[in-house]
Amino acid sequence: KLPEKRSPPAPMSATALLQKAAQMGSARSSGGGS
Amino acid sequence: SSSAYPCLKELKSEERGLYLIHHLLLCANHVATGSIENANHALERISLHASPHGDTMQRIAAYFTEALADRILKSWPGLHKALNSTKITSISEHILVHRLFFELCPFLKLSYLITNQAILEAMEGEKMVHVIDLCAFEPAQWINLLQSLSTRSEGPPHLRITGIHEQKEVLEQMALRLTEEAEKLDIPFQFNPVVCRLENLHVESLRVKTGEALAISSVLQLHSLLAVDDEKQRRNSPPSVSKSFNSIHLQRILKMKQGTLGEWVEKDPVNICSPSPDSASTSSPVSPNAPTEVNSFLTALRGLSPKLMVIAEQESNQNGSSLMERVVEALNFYAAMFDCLESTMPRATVERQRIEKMLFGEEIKNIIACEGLERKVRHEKHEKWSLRLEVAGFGRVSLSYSGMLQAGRVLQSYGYDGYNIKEENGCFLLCWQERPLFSISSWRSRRYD
Repeated sequence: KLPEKRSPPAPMSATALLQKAAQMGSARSSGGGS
Repeated sequence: SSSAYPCLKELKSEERGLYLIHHLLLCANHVATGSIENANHALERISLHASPHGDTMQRIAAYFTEALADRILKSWPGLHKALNSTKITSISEHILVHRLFFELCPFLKLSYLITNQAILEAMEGEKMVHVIDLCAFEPAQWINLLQSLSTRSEGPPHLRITGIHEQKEVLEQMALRLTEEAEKLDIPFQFNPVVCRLENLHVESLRVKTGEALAISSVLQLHSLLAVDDEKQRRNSPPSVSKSFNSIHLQRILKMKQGTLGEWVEKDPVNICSPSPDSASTSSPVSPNAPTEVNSFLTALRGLSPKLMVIAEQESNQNGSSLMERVVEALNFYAAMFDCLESTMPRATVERQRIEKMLFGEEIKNIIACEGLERKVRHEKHEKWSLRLEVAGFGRVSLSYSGMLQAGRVLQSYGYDGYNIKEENGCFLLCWQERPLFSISSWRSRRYD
């Protein structure tokens, strides 16, 4: 994984949004429960 | 938000983006499994927030929903045909939008420049040079080559360019521009037009002569030859089990915690945690070794003993047999492409919308809504192309550092921020931020090894 970059104040790029969506998904699957 | 029922219209860009991603994937899953009702509901929800004039995710959502809807509609061929019965597909518009892409994004400029540098290096000292352009519509590439050849220390060669394009007028235009330039530079030059679609091309029509050094240039063109007649393929090969969908990435996205997305993400009756394998797309995955059209084409090209062949292709896996796989890959690829445009041009520009709608939008539609011979946008990663080219008898030639330097200079002089070029085993990857979007590699017939 790439190191966390300081995110710009501008609206999130679509790429960043997809990454965030994936992270949210993985946080949930590693956190267990449903 | 503190309100229990925040108005969906007031969603902030980031929340809205996540909402759109979530529902797009849900919708794609419904389309893949044939749940039209559910897909329709998802499309309705997305449509409240998607817009071709909005931020990048809103725009992407608009084009993806159009593509998903088109796929659904294709199960009613009558409806689909009727809705498209007055559609005008004009070649000139197609050319225009490619020219806009060339002018406004750096990718084609870089591809042409790197290709030309490789040709110059390979053709050093050659007196008779023949260049074949598999998709001849942009004279700028060859004007640049003519100019570089005119300053060669040993003097310019006799240059012949064979251009392949299905539209006669495009080639006539090209011949005119190039002949004019060659005369100005005093280079002996001949343009050989071949009016033909690439898939119907016979290599004999390229009229390659002995004694001339041959270079072939293919910019974002070869993947269209991967289109296969799925029906024919199925009849001729033993039935293969459709690969069940197992992209961890997608599963993760589909498992997105509803709470973190906000209360406005409605619970969906469908179990989104375990996407079932596609029922809608059952085409068998074609291995790169299968005797497909592209393989015989590449073998035929190699038979011409090219001293050099430079290939630029999209660096993405959009030729998967399962729809979900393609949707996820396309989302990732086009997110980066839309981000590029967002960083390069203001939202309201007509040129930007043209590129998004007529180039990216049409590609997305082809990837998602089409199957079989109709599905031409079959981007595959460099890895797979390498394998194919090696099987066809090509050996790799490393691209040079000076090509890299020149490309870097172009990025700088045009002020293209956020783009960069990476070198990987002699092949160049054109990247947006850190993400490779296009690959450029060069090859030659093994005869020269």
